[in-house]
Amino acid sequence: MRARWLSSLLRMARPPLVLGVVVGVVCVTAETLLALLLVRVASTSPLGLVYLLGILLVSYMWGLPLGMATALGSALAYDLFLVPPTHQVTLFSSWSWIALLVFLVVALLVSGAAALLRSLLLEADERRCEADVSAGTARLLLRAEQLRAALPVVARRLAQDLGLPSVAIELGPAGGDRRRAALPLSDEGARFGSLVVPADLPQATLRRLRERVVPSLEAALVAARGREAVACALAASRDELARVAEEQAALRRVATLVARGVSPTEIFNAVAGEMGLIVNADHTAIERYEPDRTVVLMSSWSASSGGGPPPVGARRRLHEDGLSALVLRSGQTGRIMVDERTAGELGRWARDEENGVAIGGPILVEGRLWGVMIAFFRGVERQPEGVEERMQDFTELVVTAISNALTRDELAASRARVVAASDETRHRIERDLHDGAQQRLVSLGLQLRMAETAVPPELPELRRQLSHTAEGLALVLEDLRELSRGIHPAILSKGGLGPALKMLARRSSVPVDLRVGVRERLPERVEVAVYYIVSESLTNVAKHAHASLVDIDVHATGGRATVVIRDDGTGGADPAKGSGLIGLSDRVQALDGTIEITSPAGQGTTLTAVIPVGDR
Amino acid sequence: MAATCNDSEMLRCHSERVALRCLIVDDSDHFKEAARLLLEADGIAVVGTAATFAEALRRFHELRPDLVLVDVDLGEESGFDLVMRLWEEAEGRRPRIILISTYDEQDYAELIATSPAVAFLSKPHLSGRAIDDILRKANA
Repeated sequence: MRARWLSSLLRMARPPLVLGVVVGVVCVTAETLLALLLVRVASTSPLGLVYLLGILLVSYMWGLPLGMATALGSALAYDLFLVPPTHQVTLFSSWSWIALLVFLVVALLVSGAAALLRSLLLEADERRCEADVSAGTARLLLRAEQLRAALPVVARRLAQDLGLPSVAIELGPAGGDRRRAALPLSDEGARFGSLVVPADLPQATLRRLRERVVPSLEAALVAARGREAVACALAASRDELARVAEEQAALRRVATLVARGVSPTEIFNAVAGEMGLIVNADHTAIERYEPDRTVVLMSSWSASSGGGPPPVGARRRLHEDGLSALVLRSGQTGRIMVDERTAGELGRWARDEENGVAIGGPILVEGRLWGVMIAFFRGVERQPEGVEERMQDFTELVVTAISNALTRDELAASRARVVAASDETRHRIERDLHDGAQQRLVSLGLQLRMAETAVPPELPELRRQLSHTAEGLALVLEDLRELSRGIHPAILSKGGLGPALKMLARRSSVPVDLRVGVRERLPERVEVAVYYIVSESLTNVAKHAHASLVDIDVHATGGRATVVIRDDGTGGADPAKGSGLIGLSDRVQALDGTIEITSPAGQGTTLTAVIPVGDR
Repeated sequence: MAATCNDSEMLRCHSERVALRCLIVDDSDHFKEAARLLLEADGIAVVGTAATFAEALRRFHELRPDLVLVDVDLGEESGFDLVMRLWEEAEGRRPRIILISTYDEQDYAELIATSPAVAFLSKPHLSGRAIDDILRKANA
């Protein structure tokens, strides 16, 4: 507050010279009058000091020359009115001139000191002002998010604080001309910009700017530039971190799907989408190579919804100049510019009129080139970076998913083959028994009965023995029939599920309420599985459940055969204990089906099996 | 054996009357031979045998038998289908058809019930008397 008041006082322009003369005369007159008053109470000699006040004021306000004139005037007045004899210039007449000389010297010194004080105070104020300006500039520059945006504000502030008509701070090469002076701004000798001010400023102001404003401005600008660079680097590394985190999250999502063993199709879709977002592509696709130089689209994704992608499973011929062919040839990641020449390659899903950049990564499954992952970027001027590396992470997940699926399919196929082979063998044994041993035994039985009738009546013992043998043979036949029914139900092949299940129901010791909703013949493996599920369940119910009724519902709808078997028995069955049920479970799983048993104690047992019917 | 035969509808008659003419369709030679001997001994004339669907149809048209014994199981072919075909093809005087098998009747109950065959006869129980009983029941 005080500093500002002082500063405004100091900054006041010098009053006009005439006023200074008037003030000097007035001061000398007033001081003389005051001294004349004082002389009555004090001695004459110290009264010369009274004149110093006026000299001080005039020197301070109007400078040294007028101050000196005032000093001379004061000396004359002092001599005339106060040094006896009064009203007479004594300078050359008496020894009093010594006192006058001393007075004059002191007066001159005071006027010099006052003028010096003013200039010192002015300079101190300027320095303080410059320090304020420099601090303010530094604050503005260092707080600014963007240096360039802050420069005009800083320049305005400089102009205001330094009282200049216009100031501009320009980065880059010098921008001065005839009307504007460019003061160089440099960092360790390297010029990085200019402080541009009007060319017609006084030399002193220019020097002051050059010597005292420019250095602090340079320092602040260098610091601000440094700060901006650090902030940029920080922002870049933050963006990079965020990108890495996003990518990791996307990879984790896909990896979770892979680990959950969802279908490859789902994984392909997830990979196409996630990868498209991560590498910022316009389209992505996964294609599978076929032996006949075609590719099949496994999945595709588009950033925008315009133009539906071709259906999954669409097949197209390899385009020799295209990306898929390039990756197939090289077995490596490839990048092509998509233009009129190659547009047809991607035209199906990246529309024909679009030019751009396409990047493809090979998908190698168990050493074989399985397919290609493609990312398409619209616009040829854009050269996406780092796509190949990031694509690789996704490709590896796809490879894992495909390998898993292959292994799973192979396992399932192998289980299905084992079951089918075992069914086939049983079927054959049953047929062999039927066509061979059973027919022979039946024929033997008939022959025995003929022999029996041919025995003469006088040989009753022989007749009895033959009859006995025939009965034994009939029992053997009965056993054999039971055995072959257990090996394979002939009725199933002949009549299908309905008659076969009705036969089981009829033979069950526990009454069965059977509903069969199967219109046509199902694949043999499914019929056999359903038959054994029902057969095994009925055996279990008869053995363990103490049930009075079994409810069986079998129906085939929507590509699946469903079997629900419910009894009203004691429940509490443990599927792990019944080896028959484990065998059933294996059989159902081999057909990619599910089997589920709930058996709460006291509430009966319910078995539910669902088997995909699939192709015949 | 009963020598009287006063029911004119009665197709089967021993000794004095014209013997019942029978065609056996079965893919087992052993059985066909044994059955033929047995039925002939019981007074039924086995006029022919066949092992396949096609042969059975041909023999059937040639011989016009009174009675056809059809094995349920003709290798890859189905005896039930054959019965249906014979039934459709024999216009006018339809033959008596009996299904035979080594399987139990219960195994094929549904198929037997929907078949135009008059009855099912388990192979071990085959005899002139059994056929006699079946036909008498069918005529009753």
